[in-house]
Amino acid sequence: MIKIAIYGKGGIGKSTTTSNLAAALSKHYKVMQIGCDPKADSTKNLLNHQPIRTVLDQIKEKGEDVSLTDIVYEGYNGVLCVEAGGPTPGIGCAGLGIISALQKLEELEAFEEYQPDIVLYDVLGDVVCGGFAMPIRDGYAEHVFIVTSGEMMALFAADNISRAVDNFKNRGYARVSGIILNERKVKNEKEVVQQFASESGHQIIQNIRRSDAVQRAEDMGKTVIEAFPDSDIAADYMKLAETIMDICEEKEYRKCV
Amino acid sequence: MKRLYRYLPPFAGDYSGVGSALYELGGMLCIHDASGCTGNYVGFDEPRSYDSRQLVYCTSLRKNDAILGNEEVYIQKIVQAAAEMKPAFIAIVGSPVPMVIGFDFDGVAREIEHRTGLPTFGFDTCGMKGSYKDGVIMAAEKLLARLAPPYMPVAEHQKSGKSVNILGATPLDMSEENVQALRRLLEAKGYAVNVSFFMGNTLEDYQRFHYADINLAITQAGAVTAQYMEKHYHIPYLAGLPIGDAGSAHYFDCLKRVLHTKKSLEVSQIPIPISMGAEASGKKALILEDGIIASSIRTTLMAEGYSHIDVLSLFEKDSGVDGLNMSFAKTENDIIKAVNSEDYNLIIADPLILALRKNQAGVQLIELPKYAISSKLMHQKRWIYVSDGWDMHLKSLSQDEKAVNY
Repeated sequence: MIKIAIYGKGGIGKSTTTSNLAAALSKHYKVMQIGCDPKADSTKNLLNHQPIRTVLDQIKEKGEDVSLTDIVYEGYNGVLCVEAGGPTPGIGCAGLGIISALQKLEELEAFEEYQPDIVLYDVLGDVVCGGFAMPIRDGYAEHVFIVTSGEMMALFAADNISRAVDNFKNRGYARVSGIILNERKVKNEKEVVQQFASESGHQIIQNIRRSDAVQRAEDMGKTVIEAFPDSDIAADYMKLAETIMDICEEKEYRKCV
Repeated sequence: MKRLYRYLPPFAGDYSGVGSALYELGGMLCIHDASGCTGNYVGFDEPRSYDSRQLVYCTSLRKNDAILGNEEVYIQKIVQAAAEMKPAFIAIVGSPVPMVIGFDFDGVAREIEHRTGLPTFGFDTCGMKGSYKDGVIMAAEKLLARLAPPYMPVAEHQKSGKSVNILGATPLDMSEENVQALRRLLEAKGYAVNVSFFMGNTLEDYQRFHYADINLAITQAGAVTAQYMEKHYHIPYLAGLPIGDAGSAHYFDCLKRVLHTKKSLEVSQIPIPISMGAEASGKKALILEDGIIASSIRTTLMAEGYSHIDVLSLFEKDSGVDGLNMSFAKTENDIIKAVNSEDYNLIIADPLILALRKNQAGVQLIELPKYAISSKLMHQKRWIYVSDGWDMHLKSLSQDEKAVNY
């Protein structure tokens, strides 16, 4: 089982990237996508906008009686969709919510039950507190991919994430395995992001071109992989899936030899 | 509110279970708290802390450090203390605040191990769910994961055929005198104690646990650990305790059976010979204790002629043995309800629980102090119930009764 966390600034296109990646990977693998954002909208394009109950919703409602069927929903091409959820806006603690939701999945032995080949954690914005670092702790994701554009705030957030991961290098946490450039048509975008990647010791593993197909697909409640499989941007996501698998499998192989 | 304990003190928490399990092993225990949980552990949950030396540190977690995530402050304190005290290992143990801020115990343990070179364990305890039992289980599994050799079948000639491990022994469950009585009885019957988890051994001793022919799980914590060891090391186990002459004879019959069949069992799963007329005696008893200890007492009482004996486990469902005939108290209310049932002729429990019985006429109450419940308040009332201590104590009780009547 390969476990991957996708991080990046809020609004940069993490969920779009993650759900398209999940859809692309689902052509060959069993995939589970876990949204780690109180907004609980990570998987909506895999589910045709069908609202789902989050792990925290179900814990609130059913207490100890929550079962896997209450929180795991099957989406496009069999992708298993889970949303951690969050507290009531304005109160509670979102970070602790993520921790509780991931612990609940562990307690219910979700991975043992569904046996996904790939688990994708789609994590809110920056590493803002301990809860949002949970997906990169030992036993969770082994690989972190950072989504960024050439915009200053996106690069700032990407740098923070990279530094946070580096701070934890002696703790057995996941390591950054690559940068995904989600184009916003900023001036000299590729060069700027390439410079950031080089300075932080990472590589841009895929350039996702700007396309209105994303918005049109989202309006239909779908990923571009499902709605416009022959589009250029669908090809970018397919290529991203291939590259990510190459990176992760290479690391798995190295662990074994 | 249903889960509030209004009359009984809160039972020893999971962090105390970890501390109690690791007590004798020469480690440095760092409780990550503002000082309340450390106070609970050393002041109320560890009888050995009064007259022996143990390295227990409180990190003195403060509000700003919790908000700002100043883990480095604590890491440095621990690294510095370890350099001075040179412990065999370091254990970082959790409390409610680290739980709320999502402190990563395993991650920080790795960081400290990287800096000190000492084996470091992180225990994600919080003192808010479960009990000491969970901490004892956690300690056993982490030690085994770290110290245990990968499974290799031990050649028969390297085994004596009569070598046993004792699992689940901490003062929170039973007094040192009871564990010593068990050791003496085993030795008198020709068995050698290989390792006792967690009383009477050094850290190095744990590395030879797999040479035992059988694990003897004496508490629920022990039975859960025994299940783990059976799964990973193929050592069968017997859950229970030899209590009273009849119970002890039955216990050793069960022990021989497990050694012969290599199939694990709990003492109540094999019928004990019942005295003549027991079925018709109509005598009813209730035992409120750790499920495995209580089940062993039930076996003895059956031999003594009780026809109906209920067991109420005080420490949650996980008993390490499937399908045991017992109930589980989830709340103080469950305990109060059970102890006040008019049906029973005999009730056995910690004195603080027995004090909850309103109508004490016509029922015999036997006090069985448990440190995890009544701590030092009732420690002076402890007695040896393992082996023939049970019969001797009951005899002395009936003599006292006669003396009073006289």
